[in-house]
Amino acid sequence: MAVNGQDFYEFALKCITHEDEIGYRNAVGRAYYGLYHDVCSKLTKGPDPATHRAVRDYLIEVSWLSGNEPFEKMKLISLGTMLKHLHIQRKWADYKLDDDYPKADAEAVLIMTRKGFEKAQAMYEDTFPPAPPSPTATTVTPA
Amino acid sequence: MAAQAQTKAKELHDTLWSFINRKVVIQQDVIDTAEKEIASLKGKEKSYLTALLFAAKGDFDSAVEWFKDALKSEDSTIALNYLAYIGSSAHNYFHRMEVFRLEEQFCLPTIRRIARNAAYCIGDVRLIRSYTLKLSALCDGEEKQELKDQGAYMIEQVEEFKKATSLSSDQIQELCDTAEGIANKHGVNCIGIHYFVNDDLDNAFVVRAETGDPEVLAELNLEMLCVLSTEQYRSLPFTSWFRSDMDGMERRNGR
Repeated sequence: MAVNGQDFYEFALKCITHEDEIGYRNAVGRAYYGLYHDVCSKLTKGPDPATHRAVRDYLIEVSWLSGNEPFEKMKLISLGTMLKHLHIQRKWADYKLDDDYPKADAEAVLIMTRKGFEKAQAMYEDTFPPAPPSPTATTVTPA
Repeated sequence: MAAQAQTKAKELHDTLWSFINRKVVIQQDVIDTAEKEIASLKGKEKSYLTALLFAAKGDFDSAVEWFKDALKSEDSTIALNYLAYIGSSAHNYFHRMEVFRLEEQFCLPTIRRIARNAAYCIGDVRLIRSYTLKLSALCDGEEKQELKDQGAYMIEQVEEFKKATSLSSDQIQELCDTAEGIANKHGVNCIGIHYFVNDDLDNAFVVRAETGDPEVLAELNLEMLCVLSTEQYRSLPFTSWFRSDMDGMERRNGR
C-alpha cells in the first residue's frame, strides 16, 4: 500500500497552507478521508463494501456486538459518531458554496481529526498493546 | 437634563458601549470618571448607564439588574439596547426568554424580528408563523410580501429538517439549548442556526458561534460529539457542529 490515512491528513495540513478558501474546503475533505482510512485499517470485521455510511453505521450500531470487533463499545461508537460528523462537514465544505468557508472551521476540523487518530490508536493499543522495544544490543570488546 | 449634561451622558454611553462591544477590560480611570458622572444623574438615565458600566466591567448579573430597573420606565430604546447586550454576552437561553417577554411588552418590529429569528433557531414553526404575521401586519406592499416570504422560507427549512431527521420541534429546541449551553459555558456567544438538509441521510444542525479560535471550535465540537454519541441521538440521521461566524461581532465593532 503506497499511502495510508496519515498521508491524507498530512495533505490536509498542506491544503490549509494555501491560505485560500479552496484550500480550507479541501483540507476538510482530506482530513475526513484520513481518519476514515485509518479507522478502516484497524477494524477486524469491517463492512464490505466499506462505504462511508456502512462504516459509520457499523461502528455505531453493530461493531460492538459479540463476535464483531474486539474493542470497547463506547470507543467504537465515539469513532463512528466522529466519522459521521466529519463526513457531513466534508459535504458542507464541498457542496455549500453560497456561504464563505472560514479558515477557523477548517483548522478546527484538523484538530478534531488529529484527536480522532489518537482515539483510534488508543483503542487499538488497549486491545493490541505494542510490543516492548527490543533491548539495545551491547557490544562487548574482546579482552 | 441640561444640554451639557446630555452631551456628557451621550459621550459616556458611547464610551461604555465601545468597551462592551470590543470585550476589552475597562481601565480603572474610565470607571472612576463614569461613576462620577453617573452619580450626578437620576432616574432611568442613572440606572441605564449603571447597567452599561457593569456590562463594561463584565459583571453580567449586576448589569441585568440595573437594566431591569431602567426598563421600569418602559423606554423602548433601553429595551433594544438591553437585548443587544444580552444577545452578545453568551447567555443565549436567557436572551431568548427575554426577547419573547419584551416582544409582548413593547410590540416593536425590531424585537419581533429578533423573536422570529429566535423561534427559527429552536425550530418552533408555530412561533415563526405568529411573529411573521405580527411583523407583516404592520407593513404594506413589497415589504409585507418580503416578510411573508422570509417567514415561509424559515418554516420550510425547519419542516424539511424535521422530516429528514425525524426530530420534533421540542427535540430541536432541546438540541439548540444543549448546543448553546456548551458554547456559553466556554464564554462563546451563538448568533443563529443553519439547517443543513441533504438529499440523503446526511443532515446537520449547524450553530453559528462568535469565535474565530479553532481550538475553541474544536473543543465545542468534541463536547457536542459526546452528546451525539448518546443513545438519544446516535442513530438519528444528523450531526451538529459549531461554525465560526464573526459577522455580528465585526458589525458591532463598526468594521
